[in-house]
Amino acid sequence: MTAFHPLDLLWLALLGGWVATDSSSFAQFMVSRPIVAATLAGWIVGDPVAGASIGVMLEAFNLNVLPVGAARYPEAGPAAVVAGAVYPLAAGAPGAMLMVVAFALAWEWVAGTTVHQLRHFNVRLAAAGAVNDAGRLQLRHLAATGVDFLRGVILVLTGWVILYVVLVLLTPYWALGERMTGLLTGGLLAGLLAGSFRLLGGRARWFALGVAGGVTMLLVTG
Amino acid sequence: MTDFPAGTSWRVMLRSLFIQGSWNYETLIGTGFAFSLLPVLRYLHADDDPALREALARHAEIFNSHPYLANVAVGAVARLEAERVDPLVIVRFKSALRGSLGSLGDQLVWSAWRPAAALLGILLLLVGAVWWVAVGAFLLVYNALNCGLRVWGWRIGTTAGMNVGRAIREAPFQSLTLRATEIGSLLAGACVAFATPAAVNDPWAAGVNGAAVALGIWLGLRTRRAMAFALGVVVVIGIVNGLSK
Amino acid sequence: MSIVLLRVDERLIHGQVVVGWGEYTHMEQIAVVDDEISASPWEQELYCLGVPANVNAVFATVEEAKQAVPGWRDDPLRVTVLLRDCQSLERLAADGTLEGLEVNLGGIHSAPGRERVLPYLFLSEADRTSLQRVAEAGVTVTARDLPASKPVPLSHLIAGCQ
Repeated sequence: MTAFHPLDLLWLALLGGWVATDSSSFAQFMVSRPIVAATLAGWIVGDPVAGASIGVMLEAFNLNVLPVGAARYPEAGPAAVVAGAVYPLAAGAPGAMLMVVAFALAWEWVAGTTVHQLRHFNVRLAAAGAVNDAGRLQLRHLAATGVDFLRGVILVLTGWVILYVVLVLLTPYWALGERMTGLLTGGLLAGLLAGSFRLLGGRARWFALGVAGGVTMLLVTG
Repeated sequence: MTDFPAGTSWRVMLRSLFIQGSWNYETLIGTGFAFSLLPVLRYLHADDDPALREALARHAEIFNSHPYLANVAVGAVARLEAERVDPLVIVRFKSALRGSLGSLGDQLVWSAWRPAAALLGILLLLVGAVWWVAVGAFLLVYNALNCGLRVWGWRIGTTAGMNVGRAIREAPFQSLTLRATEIGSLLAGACVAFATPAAVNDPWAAGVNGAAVALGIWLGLRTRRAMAFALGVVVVIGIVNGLSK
Repeated sequence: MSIVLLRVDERLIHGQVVVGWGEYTHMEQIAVVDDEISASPWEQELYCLGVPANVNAVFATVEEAKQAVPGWRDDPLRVTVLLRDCQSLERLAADGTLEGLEVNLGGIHSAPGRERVLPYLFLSEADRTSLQRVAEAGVTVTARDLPASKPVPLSHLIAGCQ
């Protein structure tokens, strides 16, 4: 593992707060998507390219999640910040990519559970009581968004510590060869990307056209 | 924008960015709806505090919608309030509209536009574009729709009021959704080809990828679960194997 | 049998039904069963906005639906039947009209007199009585917001309320 600047953690925590509110509470600009969140986290620690490579993997996993209704779902943003910030520190280690992605998927569920808890808590914070008082309604509404921001800060800081320790402890033991690891990573990514086919209405002709175009380009550019 | 001073419109637009700010299991985004509508209610009931309180409480009741299209409802309700329409009719109007706005938004934004824009970003990264170009392209394409829908929603709502249904029917939701799924599918195909460039001259990689792609197409939305399981197994094997050496 | 989904959901036609369940049921028709909305063209227009292009929507009163259900069950079209409340469901299910079908409770929200059972399900005493009668009329009652969630059986819903 390479060294990190403690000050980075401050910026990562703020990014965590932003992405936590971005997925629902505030504006939904989709900086909370892994492709953005993990890349920005990588940029903060000085390696946006490594951040982006983890972002692509996590984005591919999250293409297949539909946020409809009150149902519980995994939350991608804070976990992607953690993954994009820690992966660059271990980017040389074989197996680090797969371990970081596996951890991020678990952390997405933890984050999703906290969203669920917050939505229960908000019943008392923002929905009950004197909703006819403009001042209090505004205060309580914005307080709920503030709590959401704090939730992201905490998720990123605790996730960062856990993932850092996990990687320090486990990467030395990774025992699959580089080629095998590469094959599995590629297969995982290709399968996930293909999985979005049905989400997008199963448009077979367009999908086939894309595959053909991509393969042709690969062959031409060698 | 119709009937309301520009300042009021701007305030509603900015507040509506927070419309899901206190999402809760009882009134869903009801508090957020009232929060967004407040500048309108203040404008209409400038010197009548009891009327303001009564209107605010009514609009803090349960509501849900797609966050971007919620502005259609905010705008239309603003107009109905300005026209002093019977509160009971406004309640029924909101219930009838909320599901439709949710459904239109879910189809267009969550299941077509967002995956298509994300696939564009992924493809750019896979073909080796500079990271900020790829991320920037995703954010620009995605948020063109986000911001467009918010502004359009408030406009169409305040202009059409009760007749907002016709205005929505005339808007190109279906064709936009269709185009986005077509382009998204094209991008998904191209992304699959670039997922492992080495597969072109490595029969093993080509075989693994081909199998994974077939599996992904077959599983659709269940791909995430299957692949997460496969990943878990690989990680455990990778580590246990090392620990036992 | 071609009623692919029978559901009680206050929001009627919305994202969970159209996108969440649509992906799974491939429905071709939505039948909204509600006395009040059947008599109100302007509300129907608003409810119809969210219907996908390849799906057609019809509105019926409970009485009309009672006549139509056998037809829907044999229809080659894949029909989704939506109701807003447990009382309409009870009236529709009386005399065994819905016998052998499954109904899913997908969204009944907070209101005075209702208690929370699940995040998306609030039931009153009257709702529970209605649901029990529906079950007695040969209908399997479960709560399930989306196809990916586990169905929660009626016994649990009633126990969870007390």
